[in-house]
Amino acid sequence: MKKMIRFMSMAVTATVLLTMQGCFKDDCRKSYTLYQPIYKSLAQVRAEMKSTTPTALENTGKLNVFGNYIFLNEAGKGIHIIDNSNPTAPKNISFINIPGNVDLAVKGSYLYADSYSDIIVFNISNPTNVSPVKFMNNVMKERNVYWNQGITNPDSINVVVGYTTKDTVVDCERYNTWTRTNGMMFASAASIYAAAPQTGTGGSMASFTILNNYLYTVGSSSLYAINITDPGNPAQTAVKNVGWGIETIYPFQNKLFIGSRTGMFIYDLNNPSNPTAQGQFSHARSCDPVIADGQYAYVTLRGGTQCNSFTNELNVIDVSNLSAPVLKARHNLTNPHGLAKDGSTLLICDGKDGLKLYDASSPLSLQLVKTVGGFETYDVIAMNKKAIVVAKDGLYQYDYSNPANPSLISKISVSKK
Amino acid sequence: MQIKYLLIVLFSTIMMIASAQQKGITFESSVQAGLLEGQQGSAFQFGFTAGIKQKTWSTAIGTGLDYYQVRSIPLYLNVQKRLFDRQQTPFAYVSGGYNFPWSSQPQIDIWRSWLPQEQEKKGGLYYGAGIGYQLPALKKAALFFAAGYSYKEYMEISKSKMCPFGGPCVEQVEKLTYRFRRLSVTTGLRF
Repeated sequence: MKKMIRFMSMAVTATVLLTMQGCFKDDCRKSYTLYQPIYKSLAQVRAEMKSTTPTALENTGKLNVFGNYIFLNEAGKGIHIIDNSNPTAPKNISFINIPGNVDLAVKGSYLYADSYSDIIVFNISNPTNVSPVKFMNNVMKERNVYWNQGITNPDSINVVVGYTTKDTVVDCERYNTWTRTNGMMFASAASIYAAAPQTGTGGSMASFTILNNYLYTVGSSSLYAINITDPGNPAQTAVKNVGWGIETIYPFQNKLFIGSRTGMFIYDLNNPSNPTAQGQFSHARSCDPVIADGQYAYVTLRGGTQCNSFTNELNVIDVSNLSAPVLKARHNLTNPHGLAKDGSTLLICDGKDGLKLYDASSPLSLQLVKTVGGFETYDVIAMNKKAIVVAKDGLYQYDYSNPANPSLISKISVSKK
Repeated sequence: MQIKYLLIVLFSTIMMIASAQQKGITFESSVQAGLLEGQQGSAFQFGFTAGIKQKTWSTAIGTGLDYYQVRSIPLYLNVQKRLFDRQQTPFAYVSGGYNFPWSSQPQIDIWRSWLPQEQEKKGGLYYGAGIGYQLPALKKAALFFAAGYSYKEYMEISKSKMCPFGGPCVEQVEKLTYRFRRLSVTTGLRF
């Protein structure tokens, strides 16, 4: 009996001690980095918007290829200039500081880049000595972060240029968000291996594109038309309300194909200074870059938490009647992002699956020819059997003369911090 | 981390089987079901163990399903001490191991403040201790009741690009560590 009492009392004591430790109370700890902004005046920021020594790729975004140069966006920070005269050994030659930069386009000797809601025109005739020639204030009003009403003097405006950081742990219930999320997108444009064109060609995830003498850009709900007949002195000609969730813009013939989270919009450019809505195709809510090629438009629908959808597929849409596009075929994908078409080859960046090459001779029955795996892809430019691929870990160049066996030409790696 | 726990459990299992060849050691297994009661309410738990017994001591590998707040699969080592070497006896137990998440998709959305781009789920520590009583049932089985303390950890790691204050975009890594402390009440059969 004594043995039993001793045993039970020890066991009960041990259990009670463990129980009392937390009183059966659950908890949650949240660890994150606290960012405190570092400010500079807009005038000071603009004075520093010029090419500097090259910096390592870290968080690459949209892409614009012009002649032998690749202009690669470093999300929110600026643009890398890469000399691609020798595709087997591309050289990172300079970096342009542009806080708030997301997208870019090139025409002739001029680079057009956004900086928050502003559009900056740079003279790139010497890629190692790039300088701004014009600042267009608060053009894309959806992206405005510092133009308050009545303020026009750049000296009186403060811009966040960096942060001091502090690792923080708090109780989950006390955590209160103070940040605003801005989804990063990636885009591409232009040719590289052919003779340098006067104007780049927009890629599937771009929100900037140039067609003839106009720069067209999309914000989250608007389409902007900017006359660049005088390339160094652009002038805004129209702002169109397109809807919500606008993401990408792609020019084809005399039309603009605009990808949104709810569908694809087609705008007619008979009057290029004032685009007019011509047709639309609605789809399930998802992220959707679009390209077009003659009779068909190709739209990749991407799901995921940021896109609020579970749909991951390619839609092939008959756009022969631009006023009434019709869905003709669907192909399942994993996590599609940008896409490009070169002749009968369709290239799709399918997230972590890598780059997928399809035989699109019959657009309604695409045949997967090859999946190049091992990297997480975002966007691709494909011209003349060469592909430039923006991936999470770097910028790749492939030769797909034989689509069944693409060969890697070169890679510039992203710096790992 | 998870591989380390698996290796420990695997090693323990091999050691138990090897030592079971010795005299006086018998195999023993159990199935059990019960309730977990804590701040988030009640939840079911199921499990089974398989191990060895020598006199009043037994040790076993256990696994099962734990439905408390986030469904998970605990894998643990259980050590038990019985007061008497017979079918009817009080006993005490301690267990410890790793709690594996059921799936890689996030299930908890309480306390979430923004939409993540990438999410990863991880398990964490799992342990418990308690007391019980077993009595003869069927031919070679014992019916037991046990109550005690149970702890499990669960982690969600979210990575998101964000542009604080409209400035340069950065990757925010947010780690949520949940620690659940529950009262565990179980009943089962031991063979």
